[in-house]
Amino acid sequence: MTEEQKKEQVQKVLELLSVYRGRALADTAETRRLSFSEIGLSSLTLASVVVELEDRLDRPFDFKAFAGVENVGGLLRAIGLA
Amino acid sequence: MIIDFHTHLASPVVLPGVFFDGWADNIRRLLPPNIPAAHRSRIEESFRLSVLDPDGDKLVAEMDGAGIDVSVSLLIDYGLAFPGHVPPLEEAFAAHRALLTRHPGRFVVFAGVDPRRGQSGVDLFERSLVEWGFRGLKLYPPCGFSPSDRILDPFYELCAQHGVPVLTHTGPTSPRLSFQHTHPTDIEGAAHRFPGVDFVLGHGSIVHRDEAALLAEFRPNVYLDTAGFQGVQRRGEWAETLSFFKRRGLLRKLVFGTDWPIHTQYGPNETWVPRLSCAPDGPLTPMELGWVLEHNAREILKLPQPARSS
Repeated sequence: MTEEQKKEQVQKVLELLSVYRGRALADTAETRRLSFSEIGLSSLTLASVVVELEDRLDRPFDFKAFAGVENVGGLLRAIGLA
Repeated sequence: MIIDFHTHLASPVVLPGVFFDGWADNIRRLLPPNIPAAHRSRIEESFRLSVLDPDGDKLVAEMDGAGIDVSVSLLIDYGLAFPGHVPPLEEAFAAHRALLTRHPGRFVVFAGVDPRRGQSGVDLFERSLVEWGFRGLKLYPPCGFSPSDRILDPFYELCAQHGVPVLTHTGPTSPRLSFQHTHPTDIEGAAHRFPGVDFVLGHGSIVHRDEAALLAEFRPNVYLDTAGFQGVQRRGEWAETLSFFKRRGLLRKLVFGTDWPIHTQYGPNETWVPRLSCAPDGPLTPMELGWVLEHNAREILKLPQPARSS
């Protein structure tokens, strides 16, 4: 994946998370530190996010990759974007 | 050394599909309204039994990966709660006897018997202790009984006689079952009547936490396990939970448990064990962590030094 493609995919992830956050999220260090509890993501809504990302990024994910993921940066790492 | 006080055999003999149907019912209602049907199905499926491991091999591999030496395997008797959905109870007992034989030294089995089975249930429990090497009683009150009902006294008398503990579920569970009798104080009558029997409240550190802590603080024979901490950790609240028990002086009443195979959809034990300790900046000292991960459980189970398979 090129850097450009990676940026595009990060943007798609942040667009989806913005829906749950209730306001737009830019790709900053602060955003990447944002915890799921601050966004308001429960385990169930995280599962919903992961399935939605499979569609938006057009690739499957294993839920096991998200073990212990607690913040935006961790989510991006789990899907290979950081 | 680590002891996992709360696991189950990943088999429909022990965890029937109807149990997970209840979780799916709930998930359907909790999900946002605009999710496509295919997504809903995928999410519901992820909360079902995601691993099949009827002989315990996968669990032992995970235990090895996570540094867990011994796991307590809890047998649940769903026979009266889900009639027609589970095989005869004897099959579940046979599966756990096979587990002990296949993985010597790696498991402690708690027998699960619905007390409404009467004398035949008492006899089965006694036989499991005397002949098959089971070392505790697992109660699942959501099946429809109180853990302090006097109908259980013959079981508790056997626990006292054989020096084995009881683990009873607390808190909500599959909505196909009743949540009545799942409050920590539901054990109070039995814990008072049987001071020589140790009672572990399954999930006691994460559900009805204040009341579970109060009971553990003032009843010497009441303990709490951490099963389900994974959800608390996900919310970023686990370090605070450990601090709560530390401040209350209850770290000697807390035992590590994972509830395997529940939560396996979010990763194997080797990812969860480090998160349990919140290392390297967690609130527990190495000594305190040792109490939770090993020593408290070792005392309750009266365990000899276990051998670890390679």
